[in-house]
Amino acid sequence: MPHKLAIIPHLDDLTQEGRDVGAINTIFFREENGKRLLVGTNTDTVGIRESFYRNVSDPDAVFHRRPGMVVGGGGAARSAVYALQRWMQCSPIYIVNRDRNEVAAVITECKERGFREDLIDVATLKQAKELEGPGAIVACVPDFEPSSEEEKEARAVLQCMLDKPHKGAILEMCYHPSPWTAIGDLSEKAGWQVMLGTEAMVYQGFEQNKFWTGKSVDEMPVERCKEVIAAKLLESEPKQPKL
Amino acid sequence: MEAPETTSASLFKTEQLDGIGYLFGRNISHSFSPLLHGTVYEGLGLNWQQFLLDSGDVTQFLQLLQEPKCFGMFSFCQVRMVLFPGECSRSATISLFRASEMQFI
Repeated sequence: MPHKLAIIPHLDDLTQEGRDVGAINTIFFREENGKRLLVGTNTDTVGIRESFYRNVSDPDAVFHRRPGMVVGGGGAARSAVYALQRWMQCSPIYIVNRDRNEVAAVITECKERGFREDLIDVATLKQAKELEGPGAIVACVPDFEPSSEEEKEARAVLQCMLDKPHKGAILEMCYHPSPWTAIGDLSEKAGWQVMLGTEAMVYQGFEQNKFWTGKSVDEMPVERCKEVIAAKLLESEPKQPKL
Repeated sequence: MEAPETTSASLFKTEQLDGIGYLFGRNISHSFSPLLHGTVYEGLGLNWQQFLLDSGDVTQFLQLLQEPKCFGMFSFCQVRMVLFPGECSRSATISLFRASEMQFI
């Protein structure tokens, strides 16, 4: 299905994140001179950032000033690159994906948008072996068993990175149909701290509500939301760990 | 021939609400988003609700955005903003890309 274009006659403004990433996921309103303005922003970036900073007790030891890594190539991957570069002090950023064209598109677009040019397409296991291990990984791929050669190679690259001496933190963005994924399992077994995708979902949701309600996150029922989401998660049956 | 105008009340039960928001996109029925936001609004004492708008129809979502009670819209990050050169923020194109195999949020 080719992409459709829609002209928004009065999308009046963007936040810094919306402008920088070039992709928005949230629209809110702002009053100015009696007019209701339409403003766009990207809260995925904040959701990813907060997932790490709210869960990793010592970011300096775990991921600051270390390479970062993104597994995937879609919208979430772009937001992850932004968060890792802009806030999380990671450099360089490895991109791991089965599809070379997708990675090329991410790198080209990031360059055009003025992101720092330290994105590396890690396409092979051989390449992965030579590189310094990352401190933060964001996985943005569905929980399918690798079957093509490219998928197996990408999985081997991920495993290689997880097995390196430094053990960092990984945000597994996939929570549907279940948050207990093969990647989460492999990461845990390799000694990494694993955060579930519902963390990112919850924090990007609070960020959205800052714009929608005008309230700060401190005024929101953060713990209650986490309880409710945790209860909902338990409804999905934990899978048997994949071998 | 123009499609009939869409209103929130024609799609959902919205008459008693003070604020209406939407999660817009395809294949979104599993999303935890309405649950999360519902919990936030309950905690803040707001008579608001977020609805799932399982649709690819941008015209429809634009119409719904115009209603005074609408507080905002959310889509999985596939809504790309392309800015016309030379027009910093005033007019913009939103392109909807093909939904990827999975929805994250």
